[in-house]
Amino acid sequence: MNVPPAVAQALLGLVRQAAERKLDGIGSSAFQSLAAGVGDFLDERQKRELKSYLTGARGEVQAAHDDFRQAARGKPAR
Amino acid sequence: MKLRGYFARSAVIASMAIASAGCNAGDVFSAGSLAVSTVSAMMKPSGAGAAVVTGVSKETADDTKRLYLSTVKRGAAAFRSGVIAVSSDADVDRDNFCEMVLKDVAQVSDRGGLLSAAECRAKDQVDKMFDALERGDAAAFALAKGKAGGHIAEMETIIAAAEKEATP
Repeated sequence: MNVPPAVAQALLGLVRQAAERKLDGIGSSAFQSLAAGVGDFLDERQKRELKSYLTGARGEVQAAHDDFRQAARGKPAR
Repeated sequence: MKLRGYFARSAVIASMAIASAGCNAGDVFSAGSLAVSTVSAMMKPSGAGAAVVTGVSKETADDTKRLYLSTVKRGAAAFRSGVIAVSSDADVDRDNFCEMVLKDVAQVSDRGGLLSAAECRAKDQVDKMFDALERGDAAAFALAKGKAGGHIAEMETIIAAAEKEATP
């Protein structure tokens, strides 16, 4: 299976930009048009699933962060 | 299965380009994530394809989240067991420490302070990664995921060094 030349070329261009430490400047219109609108294709069920996942994941991350901060300040776990 | 083939080959291409360019760990994470998300975006011409794309993003977000959680728990355990001493840097004890870190005004010098600062940055990028996933912003997602990976790697290095020193 071959990678289409256009895909390979686009990837190489982006990786080259990353390698040149221009990550923050990658928001070219071409890239934005490629990247934009992933969420537009989700149906309602998928949107609910994503929202549910994000709610749980954010909660886990916040709890772990709070516990870490307690530990870093020499305080016991809550 | 076709999509997996693209990812595998894209990863090879990205790895080769990165290797030849000589980047640091953060850049490698960023570029790798960027490549995956770019291919994801390219492969979403239909509704069915988009569902796969979002699934891939969610999966990779979950990988980063798990890595963050395990590293943060390891760091907390290191503090509580005394493997890493509680920082004597005054800023670390402030309630707005992470805000200070993100504004680059926090002063940290010892291992506990450096680990705490790296954790703040990692958490901030994980939050941004989730926000980007929610918006469907593949470019922001890739950047945040890559930066989170870099900060998590920094935490792992600090913790591993302390654990090594603590091992008799």
